[in-house]
Amino acid sequence: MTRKVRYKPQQEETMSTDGSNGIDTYNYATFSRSESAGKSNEFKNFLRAGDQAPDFELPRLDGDLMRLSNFYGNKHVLLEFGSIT
Amino acid sequence: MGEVSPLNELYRRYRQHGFEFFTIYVREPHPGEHYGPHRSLEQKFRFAQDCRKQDGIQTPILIDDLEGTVHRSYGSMPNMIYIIDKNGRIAYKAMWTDHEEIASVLANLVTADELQARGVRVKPSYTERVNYIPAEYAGGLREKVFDRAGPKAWSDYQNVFAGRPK
Repeated sequence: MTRKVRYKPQQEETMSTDGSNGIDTYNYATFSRSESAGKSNEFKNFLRAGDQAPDFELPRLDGDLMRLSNFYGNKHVLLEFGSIT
Repeated sequence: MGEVSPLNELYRRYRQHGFEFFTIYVREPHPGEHYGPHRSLEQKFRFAQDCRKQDGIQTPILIDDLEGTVHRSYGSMPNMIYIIDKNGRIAYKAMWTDHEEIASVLANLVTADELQARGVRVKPSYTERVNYIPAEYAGGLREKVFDRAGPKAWSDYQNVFAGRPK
């Protein structure tokens, strides 16, 4: 029943020709209009409530790895995304 | 925009009720002289340390990779909130932190757990809503974000939203 939604690369990422794997594009140095326009509509339709959450494994600040699916069957998980600026 | 709003209070209240909270440190959306774009994972870890100190974050912090793999797989917004139930399904997603709304979702999951513990079957009931929030920075947030980032961040922001009131 889960609707499958895949990450679709942004156009500017697929057009990246500097061989940087899009790292410099994702970590842009200058906030621009393309980082703002239409983003909330994209977000609205990206993943939906009721969908299976994309699993991932990431390091904590202390280096220990956390895998989301390790909590399944046991804990609810709140994820907040953030940054300094 | 940009900064992490601590959910420390809710974290304290709900961690004993079967919840884990994580803050995922992602790219800097408004890079400036003080905090520029990430160029190495080591630097990203260092910035995440600063972020924890500056915002007094008490939840564990996870560091996304340099490509933003997890950030992008969840929709790329700078301040998203997701609540994922113990079946791995998205119970809630939001672009911006609304503590009251988050509290009500957490309380509902606790209630659902209690019902199931008593043998009552539960089923999903869908809700969708749009929240209205100030379009401009409010409550000193602008100063906080852009003072931390540096002057370039503010001039880039003004260039994008030229003509709009500050």
